[in-house]
Amino acid sequence: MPKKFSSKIIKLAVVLAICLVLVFFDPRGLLSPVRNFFLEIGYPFQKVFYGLGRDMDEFFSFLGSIGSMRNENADLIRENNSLASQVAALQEVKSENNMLRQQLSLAPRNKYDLEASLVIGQDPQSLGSWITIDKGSSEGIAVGMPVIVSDGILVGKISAIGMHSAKVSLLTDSATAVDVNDSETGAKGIIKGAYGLGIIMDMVSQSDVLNVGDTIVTSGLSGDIPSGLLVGKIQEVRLSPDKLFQQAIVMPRLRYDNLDMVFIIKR
Amino acid sequence: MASFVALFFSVIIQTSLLPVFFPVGSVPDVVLILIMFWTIRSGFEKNLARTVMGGFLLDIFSFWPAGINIFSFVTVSFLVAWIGKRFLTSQLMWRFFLMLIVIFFGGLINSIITFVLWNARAGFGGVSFGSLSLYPNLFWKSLFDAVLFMLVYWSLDRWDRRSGQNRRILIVR
Repeated sequence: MPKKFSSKIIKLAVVLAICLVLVFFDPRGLLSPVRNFFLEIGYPFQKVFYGLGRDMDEFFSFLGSIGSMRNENADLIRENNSLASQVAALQEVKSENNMLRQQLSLAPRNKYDLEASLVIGQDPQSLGSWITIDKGSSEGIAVGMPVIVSDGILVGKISAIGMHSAKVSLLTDSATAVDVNDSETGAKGIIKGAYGLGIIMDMVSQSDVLNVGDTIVTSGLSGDIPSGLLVGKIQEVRLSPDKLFQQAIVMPRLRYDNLDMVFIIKR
Repeated sequence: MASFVALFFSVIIQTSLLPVFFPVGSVPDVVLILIMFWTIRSGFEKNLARTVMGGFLLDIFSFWPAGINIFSFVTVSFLVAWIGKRFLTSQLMWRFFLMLIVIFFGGLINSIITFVLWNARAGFGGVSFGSLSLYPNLFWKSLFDAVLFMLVYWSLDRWDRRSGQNRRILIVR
């Protein structure tokens, strides 16, 4: 074996072995000062780059839409007239909505101590399904706190923190598990991510009833996530691979790759 | 230092800028592209420190356990160096075309390695290797890697020549 070749192989083997030790023993405590140091340096750049990206995206979307604006304007005038007549009818719907909200125990926003936060990064590889936000331990954020959007829709949980930034594992992350129930039938289960492919409500007893179109909300059983936060609607019901439980594919209420601002429930 | 700054901003671009424009799971591996480019230029050993640093920074900003991206990048870099020595020619267009193929498959291998390591950490709970075929946008991600490389190659090449960091060690056959 040539000398050069063997030294290359030895270097490769040593680096890979160290990596495997790091990956499987994950000495987070040991590396957290280093991690925090780099996150602190990167935080302002992340904020600027994400904002820049959003602005560019909006600009190009605007350019692309100029051609269709004239037609859209005419449509909007027609739609506006129609909407004006619907406003009156909606007043009645509003009171009905309040009643339904109470029945479904959906969480009102003013119930919690919310911390508003901007999204400054996203998972580029879609293995973990996460976003990075611009609030961290210095703002009182802690691991496990639920993250919602303004309408009380749950999007994920804080899973790692830096001083001024934090990682939010989305509901589509395979490591995220949240206790939920079907607000129409009361069926209980756990939702978890399906490797970036969506959300699955699992561990639902065969005796419980799940219907396509039912609304899924958090049950608050685990304690760290309050009850009544909206998750999504059932798209499909099936048996688990071992046939012991029912599963439901849940369609989230919003697209997680389009988030700008989120709220962390601090308590 | 210049390499570190380039790697640092590549990581920021990969995690904070590009996800805005690309669908989930198909964001190009900017850091990997840079590392593969340097590896083709200077070889595996000379580029090892930069490969490790790039993987480490991406692990940090992805909030992943340190090591997953380092492992993947070092493996890909080794393979790229091995292939580069044997197959890359000095003829400019052929060389560029072959580099595109190397970048495409390098990205694919990187995705597979990170997928396996990520799931191995979790004990493969309910995950089979078959589910890799469902891994969304795997093909598109690699294709975007190749397209991005095509767009930045000449700028990278000029910058690399100017900074004089990498002397060619390509063996022409």
